[in-house]
Amino acid sequence: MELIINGEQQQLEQVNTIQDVIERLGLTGKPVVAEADGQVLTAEQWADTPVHPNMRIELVHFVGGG
Amino acid sequence: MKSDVLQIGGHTLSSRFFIGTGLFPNPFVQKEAIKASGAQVLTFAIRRINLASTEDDSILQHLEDDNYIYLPNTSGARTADEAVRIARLARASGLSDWIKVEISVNERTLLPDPIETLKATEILVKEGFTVLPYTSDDPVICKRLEEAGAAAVMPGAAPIGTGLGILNPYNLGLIVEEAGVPIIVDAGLGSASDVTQAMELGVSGVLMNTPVAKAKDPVRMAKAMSLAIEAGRLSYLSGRITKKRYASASSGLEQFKLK
Repeated sequence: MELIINGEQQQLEQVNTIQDVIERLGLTGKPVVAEADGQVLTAEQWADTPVHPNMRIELVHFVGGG
Repeated sequence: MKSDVLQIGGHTLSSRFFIGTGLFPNPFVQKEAIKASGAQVLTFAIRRINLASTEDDSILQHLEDDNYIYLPNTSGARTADEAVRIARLARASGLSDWIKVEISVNERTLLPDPIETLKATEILVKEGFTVLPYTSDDPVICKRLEEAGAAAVMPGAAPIGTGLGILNPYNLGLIVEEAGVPIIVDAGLGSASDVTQAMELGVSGVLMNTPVAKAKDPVRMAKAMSLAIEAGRLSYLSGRITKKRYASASSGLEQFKLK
């Protein structure tokens, strides 16, 4: 499925939910926050949030800052 | 001595030092500097994950102690809407509902946009965040942010990362006098003397990153800043002498005259 992840077109096979996307990208267990089509999701919502073609997904994390 | 505690957002804080986590030479030095600072509140930024190298690690994996309070910032936001979006992302991490509103448009000065900051503060307070807005050292806007429900207000001493120290101590003093919430000086401090000056003006705490992280010895500087906070706070609470134009002898002059 074609998805737009962090502003870039990505082709990911066999992904049905945000949880699948996180796993496919190797981010399982990491402190990641996801936003799907502008909707901020908690980790508990990932498995219940279906993905669709060209969904805009943002994956962010905490970095050093002041 | 009477107890002197700082409370923000329902927490009694063990330290008046809020420390940033950017710019440290490596995670080990950062961890040691945070320890030396005694800080309980740590600031962070939110950024997109680099999908090209997911090994590119999050700052959090180096900090396991759960006694810290995380204060994510909205740096990178240019408008209230962008700041609100970043704040919601930060809260969805489940780590904290504290947010430092930071909105800048001018990349040369990084000075905060107080109007957008006020808008974002109003929205985020309604959404239940503990909001600590970073703003300019203007007494009027600081009061407006307090009225909007900010848990603490964080005026800058000077532009971020400049180390210029307190450019307008008069304003900062007024802000403290007027305030009904804690005032935290955020940005622009350079050395321990700047920190002491801020604390002597009566602010409740300081937030620093660059002057610690970019010092030649960040761990030692973190300790210096921590002592400066304590010294300045005690000096403020003790009430300094008034300044006089001419000398007055400590032992009296009459007794000194030997006939």
